Amino acid sequence: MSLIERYIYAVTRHMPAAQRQDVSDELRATIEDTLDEKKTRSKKNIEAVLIDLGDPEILARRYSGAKQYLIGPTFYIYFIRALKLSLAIGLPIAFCLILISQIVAVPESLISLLISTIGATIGVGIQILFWTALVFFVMERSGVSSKDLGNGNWTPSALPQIPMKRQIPISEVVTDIVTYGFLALSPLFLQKLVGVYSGDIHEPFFNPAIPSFWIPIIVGFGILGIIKGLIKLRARNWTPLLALFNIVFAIAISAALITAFVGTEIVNPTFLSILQTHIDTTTSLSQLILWTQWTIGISILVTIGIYLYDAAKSMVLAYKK
Amino acid sequence: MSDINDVFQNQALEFRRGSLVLAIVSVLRKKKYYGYSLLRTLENLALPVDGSTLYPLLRRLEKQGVLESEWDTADTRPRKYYKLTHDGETLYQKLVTEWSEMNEKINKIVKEDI
Repeated sequence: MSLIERYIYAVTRHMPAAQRQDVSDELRATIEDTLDEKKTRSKKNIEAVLIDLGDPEILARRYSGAKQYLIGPTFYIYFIRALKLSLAIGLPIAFCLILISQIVAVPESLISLLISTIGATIGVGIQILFWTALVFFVMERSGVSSKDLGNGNWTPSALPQIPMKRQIPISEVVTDIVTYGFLALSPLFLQKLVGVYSGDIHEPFFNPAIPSFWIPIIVGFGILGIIKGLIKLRARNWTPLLALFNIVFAIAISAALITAFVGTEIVNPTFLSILQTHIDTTTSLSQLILWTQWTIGISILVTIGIYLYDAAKSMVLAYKK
Repeated sequence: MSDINDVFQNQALEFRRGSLVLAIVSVLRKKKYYGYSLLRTLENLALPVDGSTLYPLLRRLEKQGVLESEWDTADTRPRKYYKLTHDGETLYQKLVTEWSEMNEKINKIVKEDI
């Protein structure tokens, strides 16, 4: 008996008082009717009848007629649309703002800068997902009809244009702006972040003796690069003028890299000597300097190669029909 | 690709779900029933329904004005009897017409070469 009463309680406990008594009485009569069919009122038989009726919470939901989903098919496409739009706008803005605020706050290292920026951006994404879902959940429950969202007013003229084939993918533009933005801001934090920390000693990786006139040159290339990215974003296709700009930019930055490599000692020698005491003693300081020179030299050559390839490609595409 | 048997099960469930209300009002317009007796009647008519589906559905139809109910306390135990209302009778007429028209159309498509 108590098992039956517990089941009825589980089904009806959240119902309004007026309904609860009625449903309880009917459910009790039904269960008893079903039990009459069985030979005995054994615990096993009672359990079998209750199992047949199933999970009391599901039965309760069927009685109440409550919706058994968060966001139904009426609103699902609007939800997905709103979510995509919010993420596409919100995430890049959040990423940039967080990155800038982290740089201004002077982080401990480059790694911690990246981890905290990406982590906080993911957090923003989860917030956007949560709040968008919540708004649609409330709409679903509050009886907003899909007509209120402009459904039914659709006309064929609202169809989007088939996009023209673009030569410059949006990913290339984003890479440009992020990379050159980083370059333009790099004098602010590079010396603080990239280096060796040992007790009170802080030796940056790049030579502090590099003449300071290089700073405006670096910032200048960064800003020019961002401008190049923005022009590419507007045009989305290579034009002869844009390709020319790209070539001049590539030659200028190549010349600057070669000049810097030949004319200045890029890597801080004190940094290298500290590094040398921390690695195995079989490598001499002069060897370490030589290797560093080679690594930097090869990296610069590869970078120049990429720039020249990109410049040539842009010119070819600009004249391609 | 999903199992074709699952596809069939899903579709068959849709058929049953769509025709259950018609079956219920048809049975209830002739005689009043209480929940369990209706369940057994449908079962004997080779249309078994889960109690957890039928009992909430009866309540929903009552709320929609298709059915009305009364408690009979004279029996061995108090039972809630359901019967068709005037609106329920109208619903029955409309559903029967719809059902036979639908049947006719589908049968024509199924049986005849087009």
